[in-house]
Amino acid sequence: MRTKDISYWLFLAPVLIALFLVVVVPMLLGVYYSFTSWNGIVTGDFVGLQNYIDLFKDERFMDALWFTTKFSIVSVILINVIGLSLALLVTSYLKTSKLLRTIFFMPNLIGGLILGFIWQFIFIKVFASVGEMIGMESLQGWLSTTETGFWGLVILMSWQMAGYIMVIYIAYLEGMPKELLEASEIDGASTVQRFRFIVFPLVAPGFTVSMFLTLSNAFKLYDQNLSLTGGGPFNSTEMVAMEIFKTAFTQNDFAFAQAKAVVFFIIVAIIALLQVYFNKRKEVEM
Amino acid sequence: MRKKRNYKLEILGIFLALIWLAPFYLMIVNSFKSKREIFTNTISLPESWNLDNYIEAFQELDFLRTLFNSLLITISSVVLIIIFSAMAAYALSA
Repeated sequence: MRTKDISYWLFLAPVLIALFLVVVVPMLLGVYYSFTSWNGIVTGDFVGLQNYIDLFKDERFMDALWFTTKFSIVSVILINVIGLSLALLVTSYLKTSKLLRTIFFMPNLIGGLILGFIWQFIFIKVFASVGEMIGMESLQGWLSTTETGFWGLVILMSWQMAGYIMVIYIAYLEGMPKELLEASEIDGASTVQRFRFIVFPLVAPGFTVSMFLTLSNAFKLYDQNLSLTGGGPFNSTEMVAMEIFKTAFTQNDFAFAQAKAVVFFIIVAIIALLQVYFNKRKEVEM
Repeated sequence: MRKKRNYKLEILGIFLALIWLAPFYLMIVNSFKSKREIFTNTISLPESWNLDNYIEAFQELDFLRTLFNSLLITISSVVLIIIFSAMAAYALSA
């Protein structure tokens, strides 16, 4: 290891300064503000843990937290299952494999806000007219109930993220040693056995990466939520990020929003770290 | 390993691709319809391909200016990111 001379710090300086100014300082300030009655202009009095006590009594926040948790579990499972299936599909010997990869990845090229508006149109207008054509009552009035809002968000998120996760799985599938697959075939393993005992353990590291990405993305979701349902009906499809934003900028209760954000950060950090820790132990050594 | 084309998978892939592309289809097709036609005729192709929406969007949005802003921000931030992250990576790896 090189001695840490002046050039070491000079090379690191731009990154460290940026990190300090936009991550460390705001975060420490934020934690401090969560103990005050800050309203965006005046710092206010030091109130100790009052914000945190109120937060657990705040039904709207707890509802949002529960909704976010449900949404994250369902969408993480769906995205990974769909992503892995798509990856298996496009890595098998197909004429259209390159084209299919491009198509499945395409939703990521559009920003989340616009995707939300497109799908809002689809769920409300297109679903209604398709439902009328084939006479399915259940396709009417999407996004007007909590359930349809929930599944709307899940469909939108899966449609968007699956292609991205597919790319990660493709990298692992194509990096797989071909000898192992051939050997298993000679030994007479069935397709299911081959997937279960050879392919699956070898793409497990990809699992860690994808789970981390989908989990943190699902938890922090804001723009799709904003443009697709806007939190409605009656704030029932409001996710945590949006609830915090509204507490801060609609109700001007900045300190309370800060406290919520701190709690949210801790929850997301714990889930992400736990998940990486458990997945790392399952991975096989090559 | 001898491989043969699997036509069932091929068809499945194309079917899924069509589902994936459906929102794009709707977006493009509806951009050529008038406001009234979107309500009466949501899914199928427009009766007449009119460019009114595009002309209006171009005039209202000040498209060139916003595009220039996006480009400016993207280019300058990418340049800074590449330089600074390469510097940091060099210091941390040596």
